[in-house]
Amino acid sequence: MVGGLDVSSHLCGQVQISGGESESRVASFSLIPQSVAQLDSFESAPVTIDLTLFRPGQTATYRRFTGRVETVNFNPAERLASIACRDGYQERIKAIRSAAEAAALTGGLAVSDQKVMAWIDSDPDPVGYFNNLLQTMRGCVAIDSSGLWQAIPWNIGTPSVSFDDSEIMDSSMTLSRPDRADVPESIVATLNHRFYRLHAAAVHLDWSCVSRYDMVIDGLPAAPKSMIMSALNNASGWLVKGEVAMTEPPVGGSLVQVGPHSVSYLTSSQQAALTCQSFTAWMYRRWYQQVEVRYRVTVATGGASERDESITANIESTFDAASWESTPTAETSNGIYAANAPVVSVQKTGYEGLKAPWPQINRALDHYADLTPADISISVEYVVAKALHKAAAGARKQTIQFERPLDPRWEIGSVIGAHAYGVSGVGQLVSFKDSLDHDSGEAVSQFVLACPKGNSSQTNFSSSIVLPLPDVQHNFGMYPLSNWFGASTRTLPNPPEDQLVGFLFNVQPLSEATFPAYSTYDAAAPVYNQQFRIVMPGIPANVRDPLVIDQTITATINIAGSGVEVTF
Amino acid sequence: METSFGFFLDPACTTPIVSSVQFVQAISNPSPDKRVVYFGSPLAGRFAVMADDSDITASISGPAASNVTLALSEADLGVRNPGAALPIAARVDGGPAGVVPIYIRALDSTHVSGERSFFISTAIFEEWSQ
Repeated sequence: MVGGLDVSSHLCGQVQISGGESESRVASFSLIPQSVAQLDSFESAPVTIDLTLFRPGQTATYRRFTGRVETVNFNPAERLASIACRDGYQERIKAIRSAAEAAALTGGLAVSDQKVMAWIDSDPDPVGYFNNLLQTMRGCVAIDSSGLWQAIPWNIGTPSVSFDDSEIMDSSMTLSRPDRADVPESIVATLNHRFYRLHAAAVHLDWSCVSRYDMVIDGLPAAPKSMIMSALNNASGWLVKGEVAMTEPPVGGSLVQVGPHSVSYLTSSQQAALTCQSFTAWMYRRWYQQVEVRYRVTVATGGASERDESITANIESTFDAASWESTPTAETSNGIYAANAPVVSVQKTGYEGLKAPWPQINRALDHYADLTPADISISVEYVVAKALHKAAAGARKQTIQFERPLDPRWEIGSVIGAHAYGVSGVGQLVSFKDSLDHDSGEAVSQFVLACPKGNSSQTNFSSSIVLPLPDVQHNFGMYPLSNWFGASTRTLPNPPEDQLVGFLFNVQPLSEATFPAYSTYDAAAPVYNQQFRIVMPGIPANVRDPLVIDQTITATINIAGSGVEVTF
Repeated sequence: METSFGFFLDPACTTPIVSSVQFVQAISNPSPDKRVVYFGSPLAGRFAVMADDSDITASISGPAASNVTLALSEADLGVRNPGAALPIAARVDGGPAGVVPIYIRALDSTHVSGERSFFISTAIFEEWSQ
């Protein structure tokens, strides 16, 4: 039927119909148009081709093609119109409007992963997207003889029919092995996941000033609170947790015995308020580390090509790590009350104001941000499905081809057995070609069966991964805060500069000493710049530099098929 | 860091206890007043620990504290001492699964009628992401 008109009686020459996996079904035929108007009406007209088989007393009609006229070539000398037709396979793909619609066309046999291959609404590429989706499919798609879209799993179970020598045309049987290039030795599927590992560390600081005796005999200065706070606040990358617990020197006089002399060391209330006698504080720091986890599986495909193929996909957790790391504290509610603070059910910790997430101090956490573990699993399925598709497609290049009298019963995906001429196998119909010659009367169907050497009756896979654990325990060592005498007999001749942390000060010259006989002044000793020096520990490279972690994908791959047996 | 852990009136952790807990003692009916509050967080994916890994402990304060008993089960109310602090756990997870019910029994020893109140709180704990 062309455009609703039965043209069977006008056909001449050959009618050919062919179809295959994931491609258009096409048909061609020639006919003698009855009028110019009829010839004109063929353009883009809907076409159906039905084949009727006759046996004595029985007829059976099969629809074999549904599509539209693609081209019409008219030969006026012969008054013959040659018509080529095609089904709507390509148009259907171009008409896809969403990722869900594309997934529906694969019948759930493909892995749709919006993290790896996202459907972009603002600039959709339906053909590219669908072709990508097809590469993860454990099957194929086609439009059947009735014009219906079909998603066909690559399953090879019990054959619907088996043909023997008597049902296959002589010398039409051919066995084709896969090309060397089709089957690699193995396929390595890799999913690279980039994310940030967030670290947090804390160090406890503790300092006390020198004794009153030392202060008197060497004329040592007291440490101003402001100097200590400045040192703490300027520790690069480190922040003070909560409030610094400072003690002030006691107000009033305290008696210091220097040899036979009793000296009263006086501290006014004004001095005490500005001076630190001792303090404890927690310094904390947090930083991020870029981590790339390579989830990998190797699928042995058994080829002899001495070549591995690789499939790689990348996903990335989107997170503003720099902002997370640099956010200062905002402990606005700390330190409001000097005494008798109201009872609250939750006390302040001093970490208030930090951006989430919050790794526990001296530990780390892997922050997947916008990706969930389920997202990662789907991406893993994506690469494994792609590997499976590639492996199965290569194995399915082992085919049996044969011809038999016109047989329109079988669709793409039908499971058929062939046992003839010493070749025996069960396979899935991957392409066919029906030819009907009105001149010679020849009516032949040519079938190609995929007979992969598989391990199952179904083509499928399962995969699982274990997410890496941030097995990190920080324990940053730090030299204790101490008191360092400069210009003193106590001054080390070559002070280890790394260890010079705490209060650095100098002994007064003898001319200014109250008790020169007891002074430790040494004019030749190193003299410090008076300061409160804090050198916070650095972050070790292994928890700072980008890290690559290899994780194995546990996968089971099944390819349907039982191969082909050949006997001489 | 917004702290989400605390004491709540409901197991879903939607109504935080932000003031004193009150109970009324009637002289004609000096039976204990019992109730349950909950320690936890509405947010899954968080957990609370003490900085030194000791137990998070609920304690009570206020005028009526000595007449209030805390326990992790109703049965334990009979064996625990009034006014004693209650160790909850070394780590409490956020979300409904991690919520810890705290059983409270209040009975004024003087049996004098009146309205009394106490505070329930913990020492400083730290809240982190999983």
